[in-house]
Amino acid sequence: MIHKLDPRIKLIATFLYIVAIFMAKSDTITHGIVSYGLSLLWLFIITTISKIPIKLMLKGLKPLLFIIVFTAVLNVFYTPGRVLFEFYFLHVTYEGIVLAFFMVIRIILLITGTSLLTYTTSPIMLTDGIETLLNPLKKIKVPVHELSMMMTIALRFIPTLIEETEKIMNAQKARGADFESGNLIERAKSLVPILIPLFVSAFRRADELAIAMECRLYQGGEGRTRLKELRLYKIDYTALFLCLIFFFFIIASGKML
Amino acid sequence: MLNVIEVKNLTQIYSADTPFEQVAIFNVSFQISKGEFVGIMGHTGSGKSTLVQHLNGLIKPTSGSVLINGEDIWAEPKEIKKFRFKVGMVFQYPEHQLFEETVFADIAFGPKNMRLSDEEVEERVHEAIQFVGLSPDILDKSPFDLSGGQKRRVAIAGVIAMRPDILILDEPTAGLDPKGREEILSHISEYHKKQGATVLFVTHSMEDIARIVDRIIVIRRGEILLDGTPKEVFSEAYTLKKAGLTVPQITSVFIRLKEMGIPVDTSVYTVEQALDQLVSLKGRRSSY
Ligand SMILES: Nc1ncnc2c1ncn2[C@@H]1O[C@H](COP(=O)(O)OP(=O)(O)OP(=O)(O)O)[C@@H](O)[C@H]1O
Ligand SMILES: [Mg+2]
Repeated sequence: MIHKLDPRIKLIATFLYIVAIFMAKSDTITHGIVSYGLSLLWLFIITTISKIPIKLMLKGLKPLLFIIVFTAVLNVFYTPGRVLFEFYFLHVTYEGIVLAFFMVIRIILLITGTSLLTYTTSPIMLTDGIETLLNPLKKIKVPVHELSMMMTIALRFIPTLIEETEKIMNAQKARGADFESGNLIERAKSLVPILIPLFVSAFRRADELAIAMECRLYQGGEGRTRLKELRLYKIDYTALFLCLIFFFFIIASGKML
Repeated sequence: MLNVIEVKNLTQIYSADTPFEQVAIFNVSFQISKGEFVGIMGHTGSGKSTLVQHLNGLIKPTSGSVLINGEDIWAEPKEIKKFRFKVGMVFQYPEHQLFEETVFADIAFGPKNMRLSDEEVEERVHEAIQFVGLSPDILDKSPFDLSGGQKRRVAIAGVIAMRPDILILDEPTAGLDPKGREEILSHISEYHKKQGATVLFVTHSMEDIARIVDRIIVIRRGEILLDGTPKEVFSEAYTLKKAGLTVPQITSVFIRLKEMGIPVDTSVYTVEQALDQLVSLKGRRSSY
């Protein structure tokens, strides 16, 4: 169901969600528990509706594990307050632990929440959504269509470039290239035989694509119609309404408690 | 005779245990003896490239083993480079891997990685450029300024310069005009004879290889469908068609003749053989 929502609504919802999480207060423990608990609940509900396995969401956190741990450690040691115990020059404070705990939750909420957007929306829909949302900026001469076209093309070519890199790496390995051993400088040097052919082929592809687009009379966004017009349905408005309610609750919980 | 290549029960599954799981090679075994010139044929996506990339350890088998000169190449994964020098591999569209400033430097990349002396490298580069039929003047040029066919030859020279005992070429003639194709084929054939090298030639065009190879292995959906001399393989025209391959034109003419009731042998694959047959047929007719 989430998959079918209008990408614009999803973008706005994600934006509201991010703002809400930044505004969520954790100055006291009750504040923190209420606002983050609310956000967690919200995230959980949406994840369940969109049928994305929780496992997959947690997998997305893996590459950022280092940053999460790093933030936590910094917060634990460098927050002034009541000292719980000391370890040479390091002080662990009560406030530090609380802050670190909420900080970690905040990061996790941010990452999983935004990755939900990419899991449920195809890149093309996303750029379409961004383009229509930013359309008003055309008045002040921002090349919105061109930017979104560039984004679409970039997204489209990521897998192609990965494949190409693999091929070139294999070809150079077959000629005895070694990417795994040696010191830092040697390793950096060993990338040259990959990067140069990769750039050459990227430029070749760009050229070919430009020609192909011109052959089909592409001439920018003016007057171009779409295969899929973005249209808002009842469900989109409902979703937006629910998001606003969530946003309001988070803000209000900070003010009232 | 010594088997330079021995493949035992090789299986390769891409993206195993995911929804995208794909069996590219299934339980393939074969041996190739020293000095053989083998053609590997198959329809697009049949697994030819996957198969040959196992032979110099670019891909690790999901199961099964690859032996080069009787040694299992994955016995000592750190030593895999040794086999990369023994088994030279020219990829599909090899011109896309050129990167140096001059043709000389690019051809020298492989030999330099072998840690040969400068004189040795220089000698090999000159030898290689001659093997592919290019003039040595070209050595100082930038590889990016050459024509497509020239680039292709420089790339092949870059592999030949390593003087591999086993040379594998993955569709080296794809996208070339008939003359360029003919030339590259004859240069490879020459390398095979002069160096006594074992050559594996991947292609989907029958006409390309029928004349020059000793043996053809036909792959279909990751399994070996046919394996034999060109004569044996082309006599199985029906099986080949099922694998999505065509027999050489002259063979299909003879198959048609046979269908029309003329007693010809359909295992011909060159025009000369066809001529011989027709002449002998005429001889028989006139003796009625
Ligand atoms: N890196 C890869 N990851 C996943 N699947 C792959 C990969 N490489 C090849 N395949 C799949 O394995 C099968 C065999 O591919 P392969 O490239 O070996 O075919 P081929 O016979 O060389 O075809 P062609 O004549 O087009 O070069 C194909 O179905 C292909 O989709
Ligand atoms: Mg291939």
